[in-house]
Amino acid sequence: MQDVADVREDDGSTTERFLTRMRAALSDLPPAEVDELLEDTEEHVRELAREHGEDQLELRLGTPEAYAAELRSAAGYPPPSQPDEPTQQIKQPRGDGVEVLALAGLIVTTASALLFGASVRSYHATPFFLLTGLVGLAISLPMLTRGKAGVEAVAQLPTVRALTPYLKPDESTLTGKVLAYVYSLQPAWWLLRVLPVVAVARGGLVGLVVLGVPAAVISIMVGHYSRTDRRVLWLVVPANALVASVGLYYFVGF
Amino acid sequence: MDTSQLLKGVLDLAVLAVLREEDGYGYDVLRRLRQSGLDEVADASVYGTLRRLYKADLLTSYVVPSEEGPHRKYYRVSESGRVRLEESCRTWRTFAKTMDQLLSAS
Repeated sequence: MQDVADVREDDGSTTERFLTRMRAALSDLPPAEVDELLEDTEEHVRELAREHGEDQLELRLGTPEAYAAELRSAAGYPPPSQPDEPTQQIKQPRGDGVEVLALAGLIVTTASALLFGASVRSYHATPFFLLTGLVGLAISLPMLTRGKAGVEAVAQLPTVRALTPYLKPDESTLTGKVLAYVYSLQPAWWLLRVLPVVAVARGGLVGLVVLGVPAAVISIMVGHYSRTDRRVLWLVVPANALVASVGLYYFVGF
Repeated sequence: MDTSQLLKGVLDLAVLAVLREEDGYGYDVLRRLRQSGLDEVADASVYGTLRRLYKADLLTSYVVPSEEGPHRKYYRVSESGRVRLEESCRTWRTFAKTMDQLLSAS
């Protein structure tokens, strides 16, 4: 063991130089932030130097510059060559047109399905909504072909993020509780949405069994699957809209 | 396979998990991570991660005076940190399960 006084003297050299170089490598960040960032680290570096000797410092930690770079990137700051906005996290969604197009596509397809279902009675409008529905689906394709990550990018769009409080309700509020309860009914909807299919087939009891049961099974499977692969939503949401509007037409008489 | 690459994606989760058990200061967190088996974890990434989680309000901190040496800054998981930890936990489990299935299938 070294004497404490010796250690203090040693600190004046290699350790302090190491720390100064580290600080210099972070000098583009706000000084207060550098202090915070180095608060724990400086202590750690000094302790290492005390424990293992100063000459071990670079062996164990790498160069001060490399150490600072690691610290900086883990703390979420851009590398020094990229100027400014140090308070911003680097991980910003890229948000190119593909996601916006996919979101628009989803809305168009869903609206088309809704109107398609509502217009079954007046046949002349139907092909038009079928067409717009397909267009909506087509413009979503560039995103859908990117795999599941594509949907994640759509979820990061500011418009969608603004909906997060409603989509993932905070159950400490009354509205949140109500929303969460409504969402918990989702499996019931998976069964309910099969009814219009059966009704359209007009098969009576036989239809209910022959068509209804397999349809219900498929519906539940799709429901579960759509929770893991959100891409399915581009088909499921319009299909739900269609079923809902057809259902309203049959059962309520809209 | 290079563990340090894997670690990058889950260090937030690991740090939060370590602190959920008990509050800790920087070096303490580092030591507990290494003791748990993450021995390749780099000092600087842990300190940087602590700072980032703190700034994102996932951690709070308080200073504890120490007899020998300087005062120590302890970190504690905040309420939103706990929520994040639960979310990340779920994401991780799903991911790990998927990878397991993928690897055992091949």
